[in-house]
Amino acid sequence: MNLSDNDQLVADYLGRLDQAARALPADRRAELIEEIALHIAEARAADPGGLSEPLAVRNILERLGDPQDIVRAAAEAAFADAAADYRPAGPRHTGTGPAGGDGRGGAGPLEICAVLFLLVGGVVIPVLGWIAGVVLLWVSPRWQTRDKLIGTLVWPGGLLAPAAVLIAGGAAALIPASETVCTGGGSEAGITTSGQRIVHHFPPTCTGTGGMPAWLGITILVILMALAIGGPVYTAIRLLRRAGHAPAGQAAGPAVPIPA
Amino acid sequence: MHCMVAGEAGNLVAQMRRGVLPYCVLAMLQDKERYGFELVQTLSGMDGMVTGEGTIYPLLARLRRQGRVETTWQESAAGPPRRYYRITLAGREALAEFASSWRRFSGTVDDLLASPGEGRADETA
Repeated sequence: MNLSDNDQLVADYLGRLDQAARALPADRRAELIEEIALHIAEARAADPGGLSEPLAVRNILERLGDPQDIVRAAAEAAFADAAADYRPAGPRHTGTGPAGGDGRGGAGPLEICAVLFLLVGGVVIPVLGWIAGVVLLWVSPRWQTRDKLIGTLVWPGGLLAPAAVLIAGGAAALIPASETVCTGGGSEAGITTSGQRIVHHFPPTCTGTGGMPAWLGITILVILMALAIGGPVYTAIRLLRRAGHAPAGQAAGPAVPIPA
Repeated sequence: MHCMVAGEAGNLVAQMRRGVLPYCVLAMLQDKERYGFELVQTLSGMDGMVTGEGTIYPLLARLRRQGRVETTWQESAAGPPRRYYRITLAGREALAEFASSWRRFSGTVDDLLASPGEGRADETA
């Protein structure tokens, strides 16, 4: 007999819940109202007086609790989601460490692309690839200006220089060949002048091509190559580690609203 | 959550309950799937677990978003359709991790409460 009154009680409750849930994202709000409405329907179906007795309906609503409390729980859940998204590194950063910005953001896809382009972009697409890396480096909000300057000015071109040296090294492999040509020329001179006198300019011309002993040349080349490869690689690793150390104002990620 | 205002025991209990409740839900789902209303009824029948039944639903929704439970809709003979919750592998892993931490933590606190002289209570004010 009091069916409509009871429905009105439920409708009032859901209305208050809906009002309280205004601050929630639309999908969360709709989801919450749906779940609570289903709970009430289920509880009323399970309770012998749930469909007709106002007392039973009031009891169901009372047990559900104040709509404000339910919305607060939903806001806390949303906050916890946002906090989990905010630190994708995992559960290690649970408190406020001494380094304030530590772990904030870290190296995302953008940062990894930037470092890859800086390192090998110039080799794959000569010069232009490296420039793309520089652009990405400066676009990312996760590095300080100092890191960006280091990333740009130290080892410009990335591994382009050692790659070029390697190509030059291929050409340098031809030097022994030119040396034999040279000695061939020297011995030729010896043959032509064999009848009259011994030619002295055969040793100086040939050593002049090599310049220094072969082992010294190789050692210097290896050291230079180690520097030219190790330098950019070290800078790249350092950049990846420094990602996320941008000052708080620049740090990536939206400000998370803290529910009251 | 470190900015919790300590001092009020009631507030502290509420904080603890909020932290523990998701794992209690996962524990209840270990052996079989259950529907929302059933979970809420069981939890609210336990001493000190729930203040308002409605606050459990956001928690269930969060477990779903975390991939720790998955849900299916099933028709019921009487009443509205029911959303059934089933624990996932990720949910089981999270539960196992929580269970071992909880045993260590609660054991230490129990020891301290039983014999306060032997350990130094490290109250974070």
